[in-house]
Amino acid sequence: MMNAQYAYASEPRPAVAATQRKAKYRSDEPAGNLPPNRPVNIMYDRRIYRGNTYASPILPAYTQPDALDQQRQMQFKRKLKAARRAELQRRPRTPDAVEGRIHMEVQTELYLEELSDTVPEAAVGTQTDAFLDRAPSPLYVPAKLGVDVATQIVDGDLFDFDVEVEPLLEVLVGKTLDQARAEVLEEAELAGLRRRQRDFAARRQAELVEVQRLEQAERRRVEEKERRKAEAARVLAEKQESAAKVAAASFAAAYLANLVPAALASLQDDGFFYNAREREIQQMFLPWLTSQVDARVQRLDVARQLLDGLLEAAVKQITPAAPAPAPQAQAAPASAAADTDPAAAATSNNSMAVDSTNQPDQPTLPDNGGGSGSGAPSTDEVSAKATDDGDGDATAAPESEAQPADALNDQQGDRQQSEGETAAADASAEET
Amino acid sequence: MPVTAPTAPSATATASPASHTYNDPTRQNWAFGHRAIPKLIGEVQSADEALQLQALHSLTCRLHEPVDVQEALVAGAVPAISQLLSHAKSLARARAVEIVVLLTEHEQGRAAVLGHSHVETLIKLIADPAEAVRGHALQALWNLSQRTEQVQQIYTTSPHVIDHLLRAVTAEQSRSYQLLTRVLETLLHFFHHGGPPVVAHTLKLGALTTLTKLLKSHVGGQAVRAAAAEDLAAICIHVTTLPDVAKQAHDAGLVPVLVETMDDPFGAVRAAAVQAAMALSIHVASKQQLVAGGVAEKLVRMVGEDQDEELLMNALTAIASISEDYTARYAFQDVIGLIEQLKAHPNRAVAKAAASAMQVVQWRP
Repeated sequence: MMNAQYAYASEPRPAVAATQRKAKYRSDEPAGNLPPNRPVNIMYDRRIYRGNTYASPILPAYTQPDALDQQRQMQFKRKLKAARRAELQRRPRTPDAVEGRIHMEVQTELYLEELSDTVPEAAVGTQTDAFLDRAPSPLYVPAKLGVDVATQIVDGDLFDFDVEVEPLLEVLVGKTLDQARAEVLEEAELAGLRRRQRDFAARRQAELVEVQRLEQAERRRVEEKERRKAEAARVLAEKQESAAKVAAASFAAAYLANLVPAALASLQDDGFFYNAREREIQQMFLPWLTSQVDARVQRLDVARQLLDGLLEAAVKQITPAAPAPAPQAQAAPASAAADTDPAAAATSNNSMAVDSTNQPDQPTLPDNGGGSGSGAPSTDEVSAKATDDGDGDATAAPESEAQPADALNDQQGDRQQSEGETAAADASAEET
Repeated sequence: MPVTAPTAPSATATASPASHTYNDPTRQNWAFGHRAIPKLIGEVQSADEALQLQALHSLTCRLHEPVDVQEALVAGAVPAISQLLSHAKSLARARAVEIVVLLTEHEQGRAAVLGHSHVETLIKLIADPAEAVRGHALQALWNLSQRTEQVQQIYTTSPHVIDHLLRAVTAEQSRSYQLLTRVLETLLHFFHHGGPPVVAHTLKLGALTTLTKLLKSHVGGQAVRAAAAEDLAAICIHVTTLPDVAKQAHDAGLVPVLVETMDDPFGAVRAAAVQAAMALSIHVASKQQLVAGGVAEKLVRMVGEDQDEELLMNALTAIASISEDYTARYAFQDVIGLIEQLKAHPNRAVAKAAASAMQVVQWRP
């Protein structure tokens, strides 16, 4: 592209090495066999100055001219001067100038003309000026014809913008200002509302904190009061408990002081402490003895009854029927009738008990057997009775034997009662 | 005749919808009268994205008038922009969320937005890559959390809103301090109106630790620090109802941070820090920590030097609470005269707080 736009008068050629420079003599080899000129890197060319080009070049030491070379160059120069001087001397000199004239050195190089067939050529460029705009055509003013008539429009004849626009502007500006003022007022009102809300919220917060403080204080007071009440109640309960303990201890001490003797006495009364031999005698020997005595007495009684019956029968056989007896004598048959009448046994028993007290000679057999002949039951009798009650099985056999004896005892008691009544009647009769 | 350069073709001519592009407002095709808003809402739902974008931009210009907002709600603006909240282009999303912001500035708009369940989409937009979308989404949530009923409705349907807001607190620290302030203010609304359930939820997520670190790091300007301190105060007010508050405050080292913040050069930050200390001092152990941290000296200086009424009220209330500790009571004996003067303050709240503080400081067993 560069080559298309620019043409070189002398196209630049790459630098070549010294060894590859154009040879002095023509080579016999054809041009195609010659080695191509290899371009050399210009950075390695000694002719190229390398380094800063802005400051004064400081030649390195090795570039400093050698003294020997300098001397040689001086000698060469002197030789050239000498040769030049010699040449001048050999060359005929120009004659001196005529009188009144002087020789002037004129450089005719500028006027030298090289004669050649080549016509000197020079390329010259020129640029014409840009085209100017066509000048406007003059205004065609036709010739004036007709009659001139003039008119004048003064201010105010036609539409006056300043006047006509005023009401419109007033409306527009007024509306805009009203709208703006309304918005500003609304914003101010909203800001005031927000400020009042904030103030209210702050006051409410402070009030709430104050209420909470008072509530917490009251709660602490109530809790303290409850704690103190609980503490007082606890102390009172402890005091009461200790007083109760003291009273209980003292009562227990007083109560327990007689506990052991009373317990022993009670046990002894209940018969827990007994003499085994005595118990055996009371529970086994005496019932047996009593039953044996009772049986013997019953046998005696039966014998006597039989004898009595025999005697009565004999008497009846011997004597006739006797008149009605006296009431005292009626009591005797009544008693005799009562002997065979079990219904009167209960009353006869009572009379028998009364008679028995009046007739200590008559042995008194207890209904249940056992026991002493004394009237008041002693503790031994009670205990014996209790044991009898408790030893029902042991005394079952003697009691069973004592039941018929009881019947005989009742009969005997009746007879005794009748005999007693008869004696009482005789005594009363004698008194009368 | 002078030769003039060729001009661009006019766009106000009857151009086809396909040639509409997002351009300046002077070229928007607005209808007149009552037809304006419904026409724009219809264009929002068209298939042409350029027309959609233009209609969205027109709506953002028109919905500053309450009458236009009412007309838009009647014309069904809320369901119309529901699809555009998830648009692929950030500009469309930003304009759609901006319309939601404009609608939620009015009570009827808030009711409509809550009724159409746009809260879920707004919550997701908190983490949007575009800053404009995030800013508008946070502004919309801030608008929607003005009242207790609305906050409870939002928290009931979408309890994870707290998670997203707390994540935004961490994310916006490295992005935008203005949005960080908005996130903290929205959290404050949720704390105030949500009550103990919301605060307990945030405690489980480590909000107290996060806010303490934010306050300690001095990230952002005074607005960020003041908002963070107010959030901490809103959490600490539940120290008696939620046992985790005192424990986490102790673990996070909140007390030394609050005492240090009381030396902040800005009054709003100091007032918020005193408010948080005032709330925390109800708890006995926290009260002792505050006294040990030197809060008494700070309060004495505030009472003597500051003139801000809110700061004075909070400082006096804090003095009343902290004076229940006997060592602090001794420290406040020197300012009894100042407190006595403040009992005649024109602000009734300050005077009442001074009277309570005087009563506690002068108490003797």
